[in-house]
Amino acid sequence: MSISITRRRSLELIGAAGAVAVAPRVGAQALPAITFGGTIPFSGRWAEIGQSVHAGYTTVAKYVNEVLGGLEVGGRRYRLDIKMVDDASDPQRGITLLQRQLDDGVSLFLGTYSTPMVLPQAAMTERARRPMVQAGGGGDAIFTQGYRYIFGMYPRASRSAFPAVDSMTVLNPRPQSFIVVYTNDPFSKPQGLGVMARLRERGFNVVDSFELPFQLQDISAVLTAVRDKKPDVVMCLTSDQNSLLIARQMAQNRADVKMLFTSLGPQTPSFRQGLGKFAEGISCISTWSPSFPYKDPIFGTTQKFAEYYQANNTVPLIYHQGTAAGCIVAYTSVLRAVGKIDDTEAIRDGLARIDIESLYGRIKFTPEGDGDPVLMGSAVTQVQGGDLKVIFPAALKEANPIWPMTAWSQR
Amino acid sequence: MSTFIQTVVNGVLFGGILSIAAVGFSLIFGVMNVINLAHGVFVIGGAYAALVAWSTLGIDPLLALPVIMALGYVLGSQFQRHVMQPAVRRGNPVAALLVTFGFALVVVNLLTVWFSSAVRNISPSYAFVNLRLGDLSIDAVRLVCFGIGLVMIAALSLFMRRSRLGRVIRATAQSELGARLCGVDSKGVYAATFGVGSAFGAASGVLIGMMLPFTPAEETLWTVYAFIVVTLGGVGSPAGAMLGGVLMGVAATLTQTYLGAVYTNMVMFLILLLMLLVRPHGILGSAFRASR
Repeated sequence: MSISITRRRSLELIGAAGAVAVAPRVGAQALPAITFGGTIPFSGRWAEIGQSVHAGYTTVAKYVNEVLGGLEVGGRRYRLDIKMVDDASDPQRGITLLQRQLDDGVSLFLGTYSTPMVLPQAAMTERARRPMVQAGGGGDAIFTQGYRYIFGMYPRASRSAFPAVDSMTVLNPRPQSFIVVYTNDPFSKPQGLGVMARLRERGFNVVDSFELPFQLQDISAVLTAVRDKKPDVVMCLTSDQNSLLIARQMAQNRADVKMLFTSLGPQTPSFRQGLGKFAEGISCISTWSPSFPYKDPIFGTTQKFAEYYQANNTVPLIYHQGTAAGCIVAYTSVLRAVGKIDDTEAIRDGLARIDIESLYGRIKFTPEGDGDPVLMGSAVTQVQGGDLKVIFPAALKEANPIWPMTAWSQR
Repeated sequence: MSTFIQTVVNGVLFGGILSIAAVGFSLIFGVMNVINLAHGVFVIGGAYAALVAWSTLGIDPLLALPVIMALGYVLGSQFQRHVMQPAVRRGNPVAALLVTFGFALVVVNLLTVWFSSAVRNISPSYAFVNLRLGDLSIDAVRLVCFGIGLVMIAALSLFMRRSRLGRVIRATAQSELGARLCGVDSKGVYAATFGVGSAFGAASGVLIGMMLPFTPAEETLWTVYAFIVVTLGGVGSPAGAMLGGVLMGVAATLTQTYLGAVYTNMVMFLILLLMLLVRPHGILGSAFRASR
């Protein structure tokens, strides 16, 4: 039997194919929305990472809306609507914008970036009894106020760098002496103090420590101490820009150490490009990597999320997108379990009880709302060949650590 | 002892950065009695201009410096003539402050749109060269930038004292009415002064971009540093800016090493406060301020 393809038939087939292609998009647009509110720094000091966090949120929403045709909750399908507004890295502006969203009736919130930004907003959503799941603030102050509605994807700051200390215990030969550097801000300071306590618990010798101002322009004192005391490892619990300054000045002044650890910095391409060959061997903590071997209820696997992200975004993929995506996965999992989108108490209770595997890893919060330090602890990564490789823990390891790292003068 | 000497050397080099960033601000403040809240924007703008020259056009930042200074001069002088002067004429002298603040906001947001807020730094091939003098370790880039800054400040000082335009600027600063009665175009002088100050701001940005990571949001910091240095060293005096900057730099590094780095800003502001109480016109002061 022969089938003749007429022009009319061709047009019908093309039209049908097109309708199928756009159906989820058109369909999802017609669905009622589950709105996630909040602010994000699209400009100002935190903008580079704020944009990464936002990209993580919107990538999951886009996938749910366009590929899955919406999220089924209580027998109905909903589209996910991410309504984040620019707080310009200004805490005052952030709380003003958030109050407006609270007044407009937004029930579910995502976090902005950095502890000074998240802290005042957490107080507001807590007072309004609206859940916030955030991937931007790890300061202890967020999780020691008795808040019930605030959940963070990281362990609190004082515990967040424990994996970095633990990674030192498997180095051979074992490092002996450490200098710890942190800045005087609500995240770095508790992180630095936590690291010092953990180092001493693990039997390491902290020969010196420095508390620096938040905005750094010069680290002469640290350089002098490195030259005088010759520590094996310098651990910097500092923000990206400060970490770059420290690494740059150490390299320029040939302040050699066997390992330089910075809690933030190397995860951004601009850090690695700025230092060039001098970035090699610098390590940092990473809460997420595209190479993680986890299963996910939305994407299937971590790798599939990474592939979908790369195909739909221009912002380089770093760990912040994975952490942010985990927030949406947590919410969708709880919403499906609860079966209602407007019962904030039930959603809060669901988040408090959650224990799932996701593209981010295991999501399980402590009673105070921060990430469980064991189940949601960070990996440790190191710059190797211009790229980041996971070097600890053993279950996620991609490469052996470079230990000791090459002296600055020999690069 | 070697720790003390290293700390002082680091402080002098760090202070050089502060001096370079402050000298343009000092000139504008001294001549026009205007606190230029857009000063930091010219500094950061200079850094981004150098970044474009280096990363896109392959031109060494030091070679691009004269061109960037020229661009800073043109932008600054035209801004002063066509925006600030009309604002002051229609409003009051405070309008100059507001206009520079508004200009800074606009430019910072434009820089963020064009370059994003990612942390940048300029790393030419010699960026990580290190010099050793016995126990002393010296970052070569900082030393070169300090030297260039010294030359630039000396040149500005000579220009102000020996050139015709420099004398006209000083005369206008002493008495605008007297200068106009002598046939001086005071509006043109103010525009030229702002242009020169902006050119030096942009030049300092080129040097700072080679030494420190930067983002658009940092412009406020450099305006504040300039204000502190100028108040300490003396308004309107290039040598005062140098002295003030070096003193601040040494105070900062000595505080870091012997007292604690967290006290650095506190000590810097305490010194500023003491200076305002003891010698409000600064160490070297302004030669023409006393005659007002």
